[in-house]
Formats: sequence, C-alpha cells, structure tokens
Amino acid sequence: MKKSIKVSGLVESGAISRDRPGETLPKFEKRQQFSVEDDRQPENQFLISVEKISPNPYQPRTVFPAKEMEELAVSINEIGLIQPITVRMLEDARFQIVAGERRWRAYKLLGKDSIPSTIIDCNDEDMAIMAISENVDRTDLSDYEICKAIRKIETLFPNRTRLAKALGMIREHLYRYLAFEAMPTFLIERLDTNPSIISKFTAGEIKRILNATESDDLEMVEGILKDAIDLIEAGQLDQTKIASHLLASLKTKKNGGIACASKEIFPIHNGKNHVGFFQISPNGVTAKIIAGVISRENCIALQKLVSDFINENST
Amino acid sequence: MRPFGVRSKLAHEFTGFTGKPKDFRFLIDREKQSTQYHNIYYADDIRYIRLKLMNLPPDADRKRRIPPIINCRMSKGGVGKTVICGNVAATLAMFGHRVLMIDGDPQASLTGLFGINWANENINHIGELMYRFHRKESVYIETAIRPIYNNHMLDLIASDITLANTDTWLMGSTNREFLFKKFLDANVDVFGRYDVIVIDSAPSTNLLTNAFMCASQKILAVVWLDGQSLKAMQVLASNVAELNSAFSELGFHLDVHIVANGYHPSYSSCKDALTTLASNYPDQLSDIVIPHASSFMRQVELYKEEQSGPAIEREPNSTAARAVIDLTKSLVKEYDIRIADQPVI
Repeated sequence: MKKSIKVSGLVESGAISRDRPGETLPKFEKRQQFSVEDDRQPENQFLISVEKISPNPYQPRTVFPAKEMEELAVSINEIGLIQPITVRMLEDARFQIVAGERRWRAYKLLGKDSIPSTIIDCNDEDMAIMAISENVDRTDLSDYEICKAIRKIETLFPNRTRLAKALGMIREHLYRYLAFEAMPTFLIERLDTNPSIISKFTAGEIKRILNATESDDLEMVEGILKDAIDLIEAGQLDQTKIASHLLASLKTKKNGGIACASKEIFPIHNGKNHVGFFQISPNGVTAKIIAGVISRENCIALQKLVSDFINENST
Repeated sequence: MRPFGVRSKLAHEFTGFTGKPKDFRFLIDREKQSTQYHNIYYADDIRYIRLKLMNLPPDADRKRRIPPIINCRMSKGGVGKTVICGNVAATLAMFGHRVLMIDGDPQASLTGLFGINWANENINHIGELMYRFHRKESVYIETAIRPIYNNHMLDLIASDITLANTDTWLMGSTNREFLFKKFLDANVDVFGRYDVIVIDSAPSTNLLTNAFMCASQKILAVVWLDGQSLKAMQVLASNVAELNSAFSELGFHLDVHIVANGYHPSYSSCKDALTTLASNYPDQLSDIVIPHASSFMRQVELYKEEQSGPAIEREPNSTAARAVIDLTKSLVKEYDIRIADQPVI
C-alpha cells in the first residue's frame, strides 16, 4: 500500500528539521483558558421587589407568547438568572424596566418576590432608544412592528435627522421603515394582524409605485396590490418581485400582456445535456440556447417559425 | 448525482472493518449481490455499514445543531484550497459522514471541480441566500442545495461570479461579521442534518470571507511550499488576530490548522519551506503533507467538464488519493467530526 508523506517521517529521515533558529513567521494565538469568574457583586446591582417594577412604556414587543414565557421560567428556575435586568428609578420609589421585560415576567410567573436588577440613570429619550435598538437587530421583530415603535417615540426628537442618529441608522434606512405609513388602509389592517407579510424594502417599493401612479389608475393598482398581497401570503409570489409584478399586471390589465405571477423557467435539453432555457415572465418571453447546438440555418428557420407563429396567433 | 463508489479494499478501510473479507459483502443487503465479482460501495452504503458495525439503526440521526465547520482559507490564491476542500469533502462522505460543501469563492472553482458549469446553470449561491435572510425574506435553501452523492451524503451550495457582489450589501448591514453565523443558526433544521460543513473560501480578505471565519472555530490554512505562500501567512495572521481582538468579548476565538501542500522531494525549496513551517507552528501544522502529484492536475477536464472530479474519485488508488485519505482521517480527529453524533474511533 502507498504511504503518505508525513512531517514526522521527514524529520526522522533528516530531510527537514523542526528547530530552525531565527526567521520567525507571525504566530497565531491560542484560545485563552477562561479565567475564574469574578464573583463580586457589581456596585449598582440590587434585589428589587417584583411588584415595584413596571414595564417599559416604549417596548415595541406587544406579544409575549405564554409557551415561551413558561420555557424561560423553567430555565430560570433550573439555572437561575444569568444576567440581571436593567431598570431605572422613578420619582415615587418605583422602578421601570429598561431591558429585560421577558425575564421579569418569567419571575412573576415563578411567584418570586424579588429580582436581581442593575439600576441605571436614564431619561425618556434614552429609554425609548434602548428599547428599540435592543430589538431592531433581532430577527423576531418584524419591520412593521419596528416602524410602529419608531412612530411612538418620534415626538421626543426635534427632527428626523436627530431621530435617525439616536437610533444609529442612516436616514434612508429610517425612511424605509416609515414607508409603512404610506400603505393603503386595507394593507395596514392586514399588517396589524400579520405584521410580517411584507418587509420594509417591499413597503418602500409599493410606496414608490403608488406615488408614481396617476390618480386615474390608483384604484386599479390597489386592486392588483390586494391580489398580490394574497399571493405573497400564500407563498406564490416572491415579495422582492412586487414592483415588477405590479407594473406588469397594470400593463396586462390596460393593454394585454402575459398573465403570470412570477418567472417560469423550462430547461431545454439535448439528450442528457442541459443546453439552455425557455423563460416566461411578466415582462416577456426569453429563450436561450448555448452556442454549438443548432446551426445558423436552423437559427434562421427558428426565427422565421417564431415570426410566423406570432403573425398567426397574436392577440 | 455522481455515481462514485469504491471497491472492497478501500471500503474496508473507510468502514474500519477488520473481519474476514468474505463476510464484508453480507453486511449490506443488496439484491444483486452475487452476480458481480466486484461490489461497488457508495457513500451511503459505507454509512449503512458503519452504523451497523456500531449497532445503530440505519436511520440514526444527529441532534439539530450546527456541525463542525472546516473552512479552507488562505490569503493567497493557487495554494490548493479548492483541491483540498473538494477532495476532503468527498472523502469525508466516503467515510460515511453527511457532508455539505459551500462554495464561497466567486471563481466557483469548487463548483467546477464537481463538473457543474456555472455559466449555463441557474445557481442560487450562498450570498443570495444570506441576502434574502438579511432582508427577512423567505429563503429557499433546499433549492440551492445540489445533491452530489446519493442520499445527501455529499451536497453542494454552488457559486458563480455574482457572489462577488455580496460585499456591496454586506457593507451596510449591522453585525455583518456574524451574519453568516446567524443565517446558519436560524436554519439549523437544514444545516443540522449534516455531520460536517466544508467551506471553500476566496483568497481575498473581504467581508464575506470574514463572515465565514466568524462562523468557524478553526480554519484550515492551506500553504503551498514556497516563499510567496509563507509571506502570505503574515496577511492571514493579521486577519485572524484582528477578528480575535475585535470579538474576544463575545467569547469568539479562531484557531488555525495548517496543511502543507505541493511537497516535491527533489526541490530543496520545498524542504526549506516545510522546515520553516514545522519550526514556527509545531502545534498547528498537520503531520500529513500533501505531495505535488499529477493526479491533482488531471482533475478538471476542459472540454468534457461533466467528467471533472476530485482526485479521490478519478484515481482512488493514486498517491494523491492516499494523502487525501490520511489527511481526512486526521481532520476527523482534529475537528471532532462524528457520524450521527457518535464519536468515531
């Protein structure tokens, strides 16, 4: 049997060595062993009575599924609270949660008297920002919910530039969230029941198209939009394609075109080999065949065939 | 689907079977057993036999969590990342592991190595999947995954030239270094099916290669045995050090495992470079050295591209394949790769 070349074998045979002096390459640091946990309590950490705490009024999360809360309560019961919640002190010796509403609810569920908390100084503005920015990057809060949360705190800021800065967003980004405001009433109602039907990008696209639509066509576009949202919810339409879908459907309704919701692609085979594709999309029909499969004469014949077919069958 | 199987001698090695050769073919219940003199054993057969030898049911599965990731990475091109990546992935599958390959290079050379012509196929690459995930749109991972061997023993997320666009949107996204990791975690039901994920990274140092590195615990640095490659270690080391210092507070730490590639006994420069590597990285350098072998050069067919394939497939009894098999064995230990969560002995 063949044998592999090994570093150890080469060292043994004297071909190479392991201890060449000098000439060093950059080192890769090894993983540090974890140091023993520092178990001193930080100075601003206290046990606060659960009853004295109230939730953050700017909390964008409105739904706390019972099952998740139970799971969290079970895990806290088993291993304890890993991270204390963060609160601020109000004037009447009560406390308000800055971060950790789920943990607080789980504590209440467990029937505990007090919860480990870190007290920080925090004004209304910071409070609102913290509640949102803690949630903006999380995958489980939809863009529409973030939009609603942003609307809630908007009045705390003199203008949108300051608001965007406080949220750590660029302004374009903020406006994308606010695009939900421009959605027609029926869509807002749909969003209230299912906030994740469309993303902020889709909302932006819809807004752009509605703005560009002439007032005569507006009713027609909204009708198409209604159908399109149904298709998106059913998973039959890709929401990134909404703009082209709306425009194409409008064209179809006005002067005829190809009625199809999204791209359909049919591969073309030559025996076993994949040589091209035939594609139908709302914008038209495309066929592509790679070079070397049909001759030039056949290409011309094909072109003639297509022209004749269109002459005979065009609507 | 590629019909790659091995004869009994390699199958014995892959399964670790030590009994009588006569008994081996009866480990697997096949209908047409006796008509052929030579049995061919496919990756799923080997998995079946290994599970049987471990007294486990054939459908034994693993817990749904992200498996070990072998990220083939080097800050220099042409050192053999793709060759090692493709060969190790195929060999891991032949050892009975379920393997997912991700082509993370817009050059799509791993895609080409498995005979897929990206120019005339409709390819959903990893950048596209991450983009949809980032925009909170539905992600169709299943359609992006191409089966290479039967029964999901070896799958591939292919790539094409448009993967190069990924950095343009990644630039503006929050927490972009960990976006790939978040994407894996969010789709653990799909990625958790595999025993190991093998990534072929691009040589450049950019946001996408950083994202791949931030999802890995240990990169596999492939080094060609010449001065130019050793110089490139400087770039790689500063890249790794930067990520480690930036995210150490999150408990992130990236280790490096080094494989020397292209050893030729008649070039003294090879021995020189290997001496430098062995002296500098006594703990990180793999004991297995990949030779400069012609089988690696015959892997890709220019005109019959569907016949392209890694050396382990095309010439399973060559010196090159031997080195790949031994390297794979060492990587199984190094990365703790298991079959159905069972530690492999």
